[in-house]
Amino acid sequence: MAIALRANDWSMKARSLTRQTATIVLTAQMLCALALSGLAVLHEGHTRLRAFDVRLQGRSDSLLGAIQDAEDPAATVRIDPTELSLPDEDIFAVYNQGGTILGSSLNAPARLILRSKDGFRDVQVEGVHYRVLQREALRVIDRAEFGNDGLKRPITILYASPKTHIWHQIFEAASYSLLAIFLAAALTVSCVVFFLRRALQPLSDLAVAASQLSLPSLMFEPPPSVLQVRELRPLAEVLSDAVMRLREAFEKEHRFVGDAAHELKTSIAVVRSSVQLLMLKRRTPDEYSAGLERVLEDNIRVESLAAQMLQLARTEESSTESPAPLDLGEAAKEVLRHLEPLAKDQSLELQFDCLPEMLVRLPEDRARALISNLLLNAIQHSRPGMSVVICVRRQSSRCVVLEVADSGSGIGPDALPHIFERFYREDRSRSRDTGGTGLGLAICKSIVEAAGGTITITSQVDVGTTVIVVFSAA
Amino acid sequence: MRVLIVEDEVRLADNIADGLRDGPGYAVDVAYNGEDALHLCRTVGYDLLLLDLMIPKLNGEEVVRQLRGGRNATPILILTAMSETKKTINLLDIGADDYMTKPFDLGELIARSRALIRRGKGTGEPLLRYGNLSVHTGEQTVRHGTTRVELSPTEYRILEYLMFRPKAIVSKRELLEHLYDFTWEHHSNVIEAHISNLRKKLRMGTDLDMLETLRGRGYRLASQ
Repeated sequence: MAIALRANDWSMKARSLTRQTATIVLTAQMLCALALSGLAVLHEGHTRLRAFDVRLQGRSDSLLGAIQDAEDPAATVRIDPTELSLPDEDIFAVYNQGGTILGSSLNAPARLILRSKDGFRDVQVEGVHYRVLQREALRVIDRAEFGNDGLKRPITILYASPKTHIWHQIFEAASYSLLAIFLAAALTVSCVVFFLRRALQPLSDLAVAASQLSLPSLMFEPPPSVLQVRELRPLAEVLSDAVMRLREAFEKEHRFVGDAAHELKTSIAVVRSSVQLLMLKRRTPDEYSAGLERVLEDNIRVESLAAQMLQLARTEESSTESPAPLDLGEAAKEVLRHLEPLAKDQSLELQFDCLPEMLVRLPEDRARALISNLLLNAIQHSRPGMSVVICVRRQSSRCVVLEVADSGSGIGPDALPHIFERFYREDRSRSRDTGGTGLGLAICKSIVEAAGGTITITSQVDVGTTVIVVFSAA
Repeated sequence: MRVLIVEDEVRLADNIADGLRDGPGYAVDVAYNGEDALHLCRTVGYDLLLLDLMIPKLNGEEVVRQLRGGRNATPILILTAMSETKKTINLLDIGADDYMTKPFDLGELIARSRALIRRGKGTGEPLLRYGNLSVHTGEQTVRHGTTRVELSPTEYRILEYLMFRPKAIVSKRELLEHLYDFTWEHHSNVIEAHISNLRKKLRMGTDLDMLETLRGRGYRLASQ
């Protein structure tokens, strides 16, 4: 239930790539369209305004044409409106040089026909925008009376026309282009959504393939559709790689559990069979006592197996805190003191060679476990009269080296690559005598690796074995 | 009866060997790896093979496969720490006769060994009969009619072996091989004494000889 709810939350918060991309495309397109239509409107306005001005000029020309000789001598010119065919809403006025109004359209607003500078200007009257043209002109009259030259009468023409029309036309033209742009945008967005969904299909394929991952088999085969996408290929490969490593680790654990079960069951089987063998028939007190001793021995083996398995599990647990610096030489000395009697018992000589102040970052119990495991191995594989050399030295300013060398039976080349594997024993029937559990070197490796060091082993049959552990100096 | 134990865990091998020697009184050899086991099986006729699966050099499964491939019909009892059903099914399919998981009961192991040997000799019953003679392999008792015959362990083992193969002539060497382990040659002269004692005890004070000696060929239970 909790998981389902969380998944739901997730999907609610999740962004849709398709939607996001469509929004981006749409926004970009709209911005573009707005800018373009703005420009188009400006351009259209400009063009139309110029055309309007030209038309205004033309109309004023025809107004000029309508000015005729006046019959009264003072006025000299007059306007014959009957010859004019001007739009009704246009407003005009003609002044003579003296500033007397010669004629104007009906109901012309005073502000519109006020004389000012020559040229075009915009005037607003009662909410209506007018374009006003004021121009000086010469009207030649009485050609018949004054010869060909005629009489030149300068006049001022004011001609105004409302601009409402142009705005109308501009918006009409712009709205067509806007409509076209909106249609194109809608088409683009649906195309984007469609193709994006198709392009993102490999992502869903990848999700389906990933969702089929399950623990026991841990198989991940990236779908071919995913591998064909350049952007997804690295992801699929990384995923596949990670799953493979996970599977290997899982298989290794699985094998360890199997091996551990085998070892435990076998050692328990030994104890049980020892007891049952003793109970099989009546025996003498001496036989009983010898049998009980064997049972105890077998029991100690189970104990040491369990202890070593626990130790291995503990060292494999990663600890985050860094241990205090430890003098590896001192730790080795301590272990040597413990193992000296055992070595003496087997007529072995332990040679110790160590420089002072060999500091490494290693917990003390682990250092002891490491050194004693290595030394015990060396002792067990040596014959009386031989010597085991343990040496702690500095390799460079950065590394501390622990070396344990024996001249004993050595390890066969077949076994050498497997020597650090858990429960690996070169020859079980022989190592049984030495009480080996097959975990000693695996524990050593795990201790060394947890401390960031390296462990290597070189060996030759009947020549001897040398283990070299390198730590970075603390 | 002679049994081969293949087990790399020395203490366990020793315990089983001692159990089989002390209990049913079998002759027991021990091999610590698969290669030795195969070699021994090819040179010695065993009556039973106790086989651990995880052994060095050649694993138990491979040993079974090679033995059965070489037409060796010795009963095989597998000792395993694994409890995977698939694995055991597979083992039985390739020719193993029975299996026990570790840790096992020594008494049960002995009983199963006895049963497998019996089956290997072609008899299902623990009671072997031949004429008036009956041998109970479980109780290790011998009766002549209704009278109980007291035998020493070696005498019993000789009779049991012969009872499994009535009418057949069993050579002295075969008898030795199946009654003693690697050291059988040392017992070569002793066996004649045991046979002579056995013959005396089986006669039950009559003239009827139940155990025939065929000079230069071996021994046989007398046809009656």
